[in-house]
Amino acid sequence: MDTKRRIAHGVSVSPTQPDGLVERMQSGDLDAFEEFFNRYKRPIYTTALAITRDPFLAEEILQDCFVKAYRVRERLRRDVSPLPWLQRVATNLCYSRIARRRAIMEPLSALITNLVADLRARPDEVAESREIIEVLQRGIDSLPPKQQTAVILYYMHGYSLAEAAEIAECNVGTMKSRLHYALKALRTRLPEERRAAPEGARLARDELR
Amino acid sequence: MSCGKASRELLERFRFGEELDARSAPHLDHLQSCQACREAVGLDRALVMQLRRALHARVDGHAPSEHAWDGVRQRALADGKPRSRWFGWLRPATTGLRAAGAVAAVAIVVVLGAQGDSGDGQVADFQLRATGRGELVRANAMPTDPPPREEPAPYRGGPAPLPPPASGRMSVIMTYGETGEALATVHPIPRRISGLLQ
Repeated sequence: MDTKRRIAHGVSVSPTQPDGLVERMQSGDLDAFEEFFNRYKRPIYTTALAITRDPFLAEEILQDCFVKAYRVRERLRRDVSPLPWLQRVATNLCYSRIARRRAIMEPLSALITNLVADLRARPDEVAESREIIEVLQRGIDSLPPKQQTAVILYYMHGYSLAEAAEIAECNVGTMKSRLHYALKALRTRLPEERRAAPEGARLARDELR
Repeated sequence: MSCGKASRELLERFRFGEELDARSAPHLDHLQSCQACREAVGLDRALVMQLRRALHARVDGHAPSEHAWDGVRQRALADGKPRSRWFGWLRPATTGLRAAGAVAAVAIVVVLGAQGDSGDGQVADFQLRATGRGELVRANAMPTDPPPREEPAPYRGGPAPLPPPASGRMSVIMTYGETGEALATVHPIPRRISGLLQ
């Protein structure tokens, strides 16, 4: 599997950092730290927002994550991308705070769902799509943290299995297993009549040749 | 080829984007002839599509605010304030000494407490806080147990029994606080228990 491919939001988990950004940051260059922040803020914020579903909390976690990175900058490795480490810190920060904030997140769900609807579709299709998305949003929220992280890293960020496993500090087999159980749990949440494969996803016989 | 085996194998390959190879041929043959398995694999694909949409719906249209960097910068700079020019070099060297000093201070207090004779068993529990600088601070008194419920005592015709006398000894429980400082909780040991310890 290609671990160097570009991923969502234009940041890849590349094994090397040719521009010496971390090195410059370690020497106390604040401009380098700003560049570091601008390079990695988007994927970190996205992870935090996907887990917490609270833009304010996500921003707080983003700031905490980078303040921590600055605090331990001397220990950051120069030969590998800091992104897996940053993602790991962000997910840990999310789950350490999410329990306290869970109660006030629910109203946001409706707001997000309304943004999703494809207005060009027929009204009944829009309603159906919203319903499924709503069910899945609740399903994602109810997944155990490790499965939720796996789903966000693999299906939302588009990290490879190896990259997602590195971030989650597990092996590839474990990551596969977490994804498998997450999908299984999500499938059981869908109402019976919604479990049929839609036209676009149905496998045709000629696709198999 | 059973339905379970075929769909299990193919689900994994489709789900994780793995290439189909010669080993997949029997499974694919089964899929061509089995409507149920085609539905199962198609359903999985649909679920993944919908899941991706649901996940992106959580983050689409959101971005970190323009002030995010200012917040990070201020906090990072506040964290990284330079230490005192004169004594900064001494600090790393004395870290171990300060910790040892804190423990020694607690030990001295315990020994002195053991030598004193409180006698009446009325010594209140308290907590000693040893700071990282080797200072010993008496913290707030520990919350005491609620007073026992008063039952009407039967008449016995003599004076009421006295509370058990304290032994003058103390038990010390060492813990560490949230910021890593040493905490010592001191309790007087009643004389009757103290006798068992000898």
